[in-house]
Amino acid sequence: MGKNLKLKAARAEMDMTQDFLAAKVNVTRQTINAIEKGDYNPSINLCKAICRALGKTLDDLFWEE
Amino acid sequence: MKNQEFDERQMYIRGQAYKHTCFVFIWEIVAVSLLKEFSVVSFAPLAEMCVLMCLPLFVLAAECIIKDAYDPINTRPGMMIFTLMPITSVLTILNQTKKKIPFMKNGVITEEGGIRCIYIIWLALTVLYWVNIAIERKNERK
Repeated sequence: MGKNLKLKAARAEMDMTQDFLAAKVNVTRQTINAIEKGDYNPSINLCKAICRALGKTLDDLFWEE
Repeated sequence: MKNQEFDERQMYIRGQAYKHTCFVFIWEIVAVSLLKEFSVVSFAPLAEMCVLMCLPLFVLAAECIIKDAYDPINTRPGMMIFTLMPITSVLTILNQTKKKIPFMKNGVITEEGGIRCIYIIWLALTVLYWVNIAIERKNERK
């Protein structure tokens, strides 16, 4: 599983810290970090929550090309 | 999303940790039985219980701490435990050392030796916890 740079970029675009995003989607900061590093595969519900928090679609953040 | 105590990643890691703990416990029983069977070392009853219980619990706690699955979301309950317990551990170990209470006597691990094992494990977990917190804080600043 590769790094999720799209998620990191989207978060940076909104000037959001990992902590803030984690609090918004009700997970720990370490979970967001693990998703960005590609160490953890989030569930579809968590993916949807992250997309909602960042104002992006699932394709934008989680589709591998 | 429901407000859970642990998030999904933490729940998964905790499940894996419990599995590993179970295997460690089983292998530990086998190892202790073999050690006693071949008279390599013997245990006083309390010491045996301490060692058998503490090592798997150490594995569980260590895995949860290292993989950041120990503290629930937005809470830090462990801080109190990992501040008070090491004080008790250090005091007990120092007291035992001062009174020259032996760890082993005639090839048998004493009860005090077993208790000392518990406190050493507690100290090791404390160090692990605080090192993890320090690394976390360093990463948060990035």
